Amino acid sequence: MGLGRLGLLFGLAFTAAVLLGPVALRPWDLAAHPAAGPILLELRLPRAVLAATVGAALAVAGVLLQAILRNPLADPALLGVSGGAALGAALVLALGITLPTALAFGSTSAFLPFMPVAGAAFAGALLAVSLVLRLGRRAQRLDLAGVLLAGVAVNTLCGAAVGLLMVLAGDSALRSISFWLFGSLAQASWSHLAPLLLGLPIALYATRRWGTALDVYQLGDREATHHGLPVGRLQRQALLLASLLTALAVALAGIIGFIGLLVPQGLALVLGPSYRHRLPQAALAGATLLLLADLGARLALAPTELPVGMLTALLGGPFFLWLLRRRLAGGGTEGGP
Amino acid sequence: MSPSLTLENIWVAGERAPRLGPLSLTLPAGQRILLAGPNGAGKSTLLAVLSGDLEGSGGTLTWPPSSAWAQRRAVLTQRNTLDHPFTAEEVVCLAGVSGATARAVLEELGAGAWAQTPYTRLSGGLARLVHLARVLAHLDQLDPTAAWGFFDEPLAHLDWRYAGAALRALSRRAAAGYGVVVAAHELNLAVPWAEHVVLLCAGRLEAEGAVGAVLTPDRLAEHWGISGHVDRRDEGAVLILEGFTEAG
Repeated sequence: MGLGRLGLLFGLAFTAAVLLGPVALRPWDLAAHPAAGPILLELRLPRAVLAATVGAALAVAGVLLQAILRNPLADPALLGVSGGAALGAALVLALGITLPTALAFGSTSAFLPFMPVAGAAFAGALLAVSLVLRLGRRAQRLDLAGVLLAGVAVNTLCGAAVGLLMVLAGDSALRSISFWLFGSLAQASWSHLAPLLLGLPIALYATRRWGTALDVYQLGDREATHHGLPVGRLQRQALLLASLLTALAVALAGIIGFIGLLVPQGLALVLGPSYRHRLPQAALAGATLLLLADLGARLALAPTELPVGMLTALLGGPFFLWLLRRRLAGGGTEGGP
Repeated sequence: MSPSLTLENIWVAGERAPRLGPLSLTLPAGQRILLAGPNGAGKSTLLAVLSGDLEGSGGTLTWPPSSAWAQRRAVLTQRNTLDHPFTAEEVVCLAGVSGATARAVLEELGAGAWAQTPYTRLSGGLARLVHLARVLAHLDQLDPTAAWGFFDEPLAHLDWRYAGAALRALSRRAAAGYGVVVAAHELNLAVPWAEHVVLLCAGRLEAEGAVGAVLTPDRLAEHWGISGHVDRRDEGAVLILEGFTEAG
C-alpha cells in the first residue's frame, strides 16, 4: 500500500521546506544561529504548514470531485469554486477595502488586513458553488452533466468579471489581483492558518469510511443504490466538502492550479483505480507536492519569489504528460488471456 | 424459501397510456421465472417496480421490504455505465465480498481467467458477465428465505457457453430458495430453463403459467412474428423455431 511511502516522502519534503530557503539552516547549528528561532517559528514553519494543508485540501477536493462527477478531468475550477473565490478577492482588492499596507501581498505581519480578501474569496467561492449546484438540479436530484456545464459557465462568467475589474482597477490593485490569481503562500502566519488547520482534519475524519462507498458509486446511481449506497446524500456531502476545502485553500493561498487535477490522476496511474485509501493518500501526496513546489518557488530565483501556482503548472504539466504517455505506451500489452 | 411476491393492480403512468398495467400477479419463489415479451412490453419497467427503483402510480405490492432494500434483493440492470478501470475481480468485490469469493463466482460463470483484466478492456459480453457475477455475489450474501434476484437480460451479448453457465448459476440460486426473475429475449435458451413464464405485451399481463401453456404457437406468431412451437421433452421444454411469418 502507498500510505507508508507517501508519508515518508511527505516527511522529507516538510523537513526540506523548513530547513531550506534564502538562509539555509542546518540541523546541527540551529542552536548557534542567532536568527534560527524566529526564522523557523515565524516564517518557515507556518509557511510549510500552510503549503501542506492547502496542498492536501486541494488534492482531497480533486479526488472527491472526480469520484462524484465520475469524470477524471474534473477539477476544483470546474465547480465554479476557484472563479467565485477569485471574483470575491478581486472585488475587495480593486475597491481597496483593506488597509493600504495589506495591498502589497507578502506582508507577513498582518492577519487582520488579510481577512477581507480571504473572507471575500471564501464567500465568493461558496456563492458560486451554491449557484452551480442549484442550476444543476433536476427534480430534487443533481444532474451531473448539468452541474459540470453550469460550473464551467459560472467559472467563465467570474473570470470575465475579474478581467473587467483588472481593466478598471488602478495599478497597485491590478498588481495585487494578478499576484493573487497566481497563488502564493508568502502571507502565511499562525493566526490565519486556524481555519484550514481545523477544517482539514475534520474533513479527513468525516470521509474516513467513504473510500469503499466511492468505489461502489462508480457503478452508477441505480446500481450503487441496489448495493445499499445512499447516493443522493453521498453526492451532496462530497460536493459540499470539496467546495469548502477548495474555498478555504483559495481564500488563504490564492489560485493554485493543477494540484486538484494532478494528484488524483497521478495516484490512480501509480497505485490503481480503487478509491479505498485514496483520500488519505491524496492528502499526503498533495501536501508533498505543494511543499516541494513552494520550495522551488522560493529557491529558484532567490531572493525573488516565483508565484507558486505558476510553478505547480510548470512542473505538474510535463510530469502529468509523462505519466500519461507511459500508461498509453504500456496499454497495448496488458490485456487478458 | 422466500415468500411469494404478489402485485395487485399495479400500474405505472406513461405519457399517454400507462407504461405498465394495471396488472395483478403472484410470483412464486424458488422457481425459475422467465419474464418474456417483445421489445417495449414493459419487462424492465416491471423489474424496476419490483426492485424499488420505480414507484408504481397505484396498486399494492406485498413485497416492499420492511428492512433495508439492499438486504432483500439483488438487481442486474439492463445497461451498465461503469467506466472506471477496476479489474473484473474488483468489480465483483463491490458487492461487498472478498477477492476469493469474487473469483469463485467468476469461475462459476466460466470467466475466472479474466479476473485480473481491467473491466474497461473486456468485450461487451464479458463485461456483462462481470456484472452478473457482481449481482450473484450480492444475492449470495442475502437470506435465501427472504431475498429475490431480478435479472434484466442476463443473457444479452453472451455466447452459448457463457449463457449456459449463466443459466446454471441462476438455477442454483432458485434451487437454494431465492426468488429468481429473469427477463430475456433469448427464448431458445430461456425456454428449457424456465419453470414459470410471465408474458407481458404492451404493458399488460398476457398470460402466465407453465412454459408450454403460455408460449403457444398463436402467441409466438402474434407477438414475435415467428412460426414455431414449444416441444415438451423428457429433459424439458424446447422451443422449435420453424421460420418467420410476415405478420407481427
